Amino acid sequence: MRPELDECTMADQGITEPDAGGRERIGIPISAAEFRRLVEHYLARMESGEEMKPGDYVTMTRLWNTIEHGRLVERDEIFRHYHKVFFPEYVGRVEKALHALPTKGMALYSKEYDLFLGGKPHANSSYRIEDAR
Amino acid sequence: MVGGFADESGSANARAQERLFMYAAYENKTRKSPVPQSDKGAEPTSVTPGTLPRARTLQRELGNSYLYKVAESGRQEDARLSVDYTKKGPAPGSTSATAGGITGTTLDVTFTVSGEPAAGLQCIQTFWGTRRTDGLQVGTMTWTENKKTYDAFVDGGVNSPYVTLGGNPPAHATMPYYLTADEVKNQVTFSKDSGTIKIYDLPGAIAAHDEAYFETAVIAINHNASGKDKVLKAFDWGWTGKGTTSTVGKGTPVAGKDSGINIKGSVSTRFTDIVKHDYSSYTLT
Repeated sequence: MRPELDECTMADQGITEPDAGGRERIGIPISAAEFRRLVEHYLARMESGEEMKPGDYVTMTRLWNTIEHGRLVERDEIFRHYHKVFFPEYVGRVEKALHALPTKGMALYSKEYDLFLGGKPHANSSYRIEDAR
Repeated sequence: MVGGFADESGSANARAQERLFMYAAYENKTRKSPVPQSDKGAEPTSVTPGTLPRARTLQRELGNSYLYKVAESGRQEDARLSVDYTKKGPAPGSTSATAGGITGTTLDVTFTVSGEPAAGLQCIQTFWGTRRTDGLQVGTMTWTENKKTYDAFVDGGVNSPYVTLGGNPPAHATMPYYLTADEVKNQVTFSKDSGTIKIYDLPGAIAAHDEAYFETAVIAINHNASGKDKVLKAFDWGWTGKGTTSTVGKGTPVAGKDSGINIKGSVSTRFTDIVKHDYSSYTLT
């Protein structure tokens, strides 16, 4: 018996605070209206080719993560559109601006901003839409 | 072929012939008394074309009526020929994907396992893809194919960018497992021989790869106290076009829906090679 296996033997446990779809409910609280406003705002700026600052990329990454983790593409055309314009085109720009590096699960992680692009739901990397439950 | 039924619609004679071979093998395994003098030195250890003389001797010994009964006795008789009832053990296990798949770029799939005695469940995930468009190499394994350079690693492992670029400890100290101890707590349920494992991932970094392939295996740790891990199920997933086009398409249906992953019973040679490269002393059954 290899001793290192002990830590992998787990009793019955579940995902913390699952929503109706079984996904974790973590992230920065935001109203549905504000979330939509941010999506529309950054979609317009991406389509116009406007220059972004690191803070913009942080917000844009959180929006994309939230759309992916919450499967919002299936809910609304605006989210589907944002997803398509952001990914993969803007990922390289996020990497450069936030000094993000590939990490576990082929997500990207910026240590400087404690921000994941992809991976699992992470408190600082996505929004929690409060009134969409 | 012991216990195999390639042609269930065949004639009784054909079935009798096959079962005759099976009986020869069964008798050779179980016979306590000495074999007839004429057969000494010709005892087969398995059913092969070389058993035919022995089978013909049996035909003479047993008669056509016995052979007819054997041919018509169905699966129960065949089970008797292929299973050693003197050996007690658990029922054969099963593992299947019971929920989820890929939505957008997010993998969220749950496998349910039963009848597989183990210390727990884990998964091993390998990645290989064309060199990142910015030239950065991920992992330490690399090869060239069709004039394209590919990089590969065990995800979360010692040579993965999670460790080499991020400075993190590997997901497991010594094994090529993908889930960290915390992830196991949250994503795995297991007791004795049954449980579930949830595998979740959103690989945003594939935007830097023209081709990105994943192969993920569901693992029974120390299966049946054998000292080795067993692959219970595996699945392929990935994208070309910087994460825009699935390499799998609709994939294997899970809970009646297209999953976007291709589920299979064993891992590929490429998977094995990558694991062997990053963890040379690790073996799977």
